Amino acid sequence: MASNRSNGDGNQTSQTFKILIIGDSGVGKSSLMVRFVDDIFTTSYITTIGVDFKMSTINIDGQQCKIQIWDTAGQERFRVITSTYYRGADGVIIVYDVTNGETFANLKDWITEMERHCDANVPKILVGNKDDSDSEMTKVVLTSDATQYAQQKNLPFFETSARDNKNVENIFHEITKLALRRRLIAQKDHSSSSTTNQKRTILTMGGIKDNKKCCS
Amino acid sequence: MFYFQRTVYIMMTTTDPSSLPASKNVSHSAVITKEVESRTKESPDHLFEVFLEIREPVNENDQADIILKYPPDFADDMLKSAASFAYPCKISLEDQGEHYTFVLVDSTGVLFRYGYCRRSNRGSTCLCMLSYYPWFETFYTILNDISQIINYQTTVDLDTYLSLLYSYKLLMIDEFYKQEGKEIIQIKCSQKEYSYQRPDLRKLPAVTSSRNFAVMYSRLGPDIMLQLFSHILFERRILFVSSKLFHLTACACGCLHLIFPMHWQSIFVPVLPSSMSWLSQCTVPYIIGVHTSIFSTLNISELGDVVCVNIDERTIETQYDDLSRIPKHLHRSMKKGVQHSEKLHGDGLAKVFLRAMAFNIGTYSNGFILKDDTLDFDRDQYLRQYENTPIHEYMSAIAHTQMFEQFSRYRTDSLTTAFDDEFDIEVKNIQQLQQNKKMKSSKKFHRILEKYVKYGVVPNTTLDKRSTLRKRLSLLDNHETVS
Repeated sequence: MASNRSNGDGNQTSQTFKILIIGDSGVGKSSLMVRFVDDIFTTSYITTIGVDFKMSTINIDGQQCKIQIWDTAGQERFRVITSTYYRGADGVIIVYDVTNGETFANLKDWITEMERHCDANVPKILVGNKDDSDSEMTKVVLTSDATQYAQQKNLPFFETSARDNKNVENIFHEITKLALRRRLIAQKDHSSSSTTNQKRTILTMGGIKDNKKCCS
Repeated sequence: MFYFQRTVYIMMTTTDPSSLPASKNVSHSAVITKEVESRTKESPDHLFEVFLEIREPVNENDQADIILKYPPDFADDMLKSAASFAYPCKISLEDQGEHYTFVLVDSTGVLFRYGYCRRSNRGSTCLCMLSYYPWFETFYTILNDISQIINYQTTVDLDTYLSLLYSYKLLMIDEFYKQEGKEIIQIKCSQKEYSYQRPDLRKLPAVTSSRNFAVMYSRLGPDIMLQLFSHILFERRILFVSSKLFHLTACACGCLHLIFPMHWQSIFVPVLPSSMSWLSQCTVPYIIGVHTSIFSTLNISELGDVVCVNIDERTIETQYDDLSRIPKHLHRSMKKGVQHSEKLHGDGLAKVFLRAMAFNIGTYSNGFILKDDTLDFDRDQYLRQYENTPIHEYMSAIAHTQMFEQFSRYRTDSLTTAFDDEFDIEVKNIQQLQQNKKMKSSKKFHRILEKYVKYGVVPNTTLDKRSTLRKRLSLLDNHETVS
């Protein structure tokens, strides 16, 4: 069960990374997540609370990394996903369906918005899913087009097949690697400067108790 | 005034996306309907989707049994999890007597379904009614009546009652509005007559008519409510904690009124079952309610930048100082308004927030542009009016929320609809304040705005002749000097 996994494995040295997976419904986000944890029996909560969650541990250069993948339902109703959605995320996997041109076209507004308004340091990767072994006839988003677009946007790009288990492990490995690298740099920066602005403000009925301000 | 034709589109919310072939995906440019923006189903087929009686599980890890279901053939994924929402955690019998509501999404993940629950401290079952209608008081009354029928009448009576309610034909929404939002739902069943008032959702919540709103106000108090408003406005992750499920429902559902006419677009789970406590770790904006016993099992360090509202202890804990980002004059007037709100009758409290929202987003139409001969909304264009003003950062932060994105797009797509709800009346009021020549001095404007947010002292919108306006404003000035 996902809930048991989330309680942690007691490994104090492992780092937790929270990764968002975004894209239209039907592009195979759930299949990628299920393939990633290799467990078809975990419950999906997308139809009750509108959120799906999978968690696993992977090893990057000897470093244990706990990775949580989060998906939310109903994203297609947004022309753009605004920056508040990405706040606090350690990485974003952007998925389209190689057999459906519209899912690729739809992503462009999201990516433009991300470029303009989200922290440029948050790692993002572009994934064309459903690149199945027999998809030659149905594939409409050409690899060359997607590669060119990804280069232009400076996004690592992968074509995957959740069905054939092609490249699935690679995308999660890649995003975690980038997220880990970013965190190590941030930690280095943090230790060199001496900011301790993680104080929390507690407001009670009487007013503010601990009023150490913090930027957002 | 321009009128633009609505484009024809497939209403995605009535279609289960899983049943669609991938190539039929609705593009992001589809029109945003009121239904999608407000996340409230416009015309559900039935007054309720399903009624359940659920027996409390003996052990915490056991699945609760559904011992009664109406309609008997109702099948939905939610049934599997209904039990865990009806019994989200172990609560001692003496603390069980309460009404509360959990919220689930529909199959598209967009629209809300409300699970109204009634538990008594005598029985070991929970009565639960799932409906698309956000009618808290009405369904709590219905559940009380059902409880009476179960206890004192026959199963045939119960079946009759439920079938009459299930097949009850409500007025269509247009018709309902023509009747000035008045409709009595009447059911005759075994010589007894039951009647329920259909709520008019256009009305602002009043402390006397909305239990959620009243309980939120009494539990949190003016200061915390105001701070909570600032956090919701910037789409933070908000976690409510209480030992009463009803208080979780009241605060989580009640706080959504504060940001009207915007609607919360992200994760919304007012009552979270213990088996899903991992959700609190999600980085995406959320409003979640957890029972105190579940909260005590959470690893606080994994919650990140959450805003934690402890309802029982009346505390709010956060690393964000969002309240200080609200423009001073607005903050001051809201504070006065909320503190004086007990003197204000009816929807006075809701009005304080509504007027603040009129100030916050009332100028949205300045973002309208023509793009390929169609009306579109451009955020940069919208924010240009605030460039080089002290409130630019504030307005920009609001404009970058998903709530504003959906709100502005809905307003753009539905421009042919006449907007004349409470919000638009306030927007017109504020525009009149601004248009007046006297208001060119911003200091003066802010002073008047303060009065306006606090008391709603404004020129009447129907009397928009300059002279009348001036007369009324001079009254306003007098009012100002008196107080």
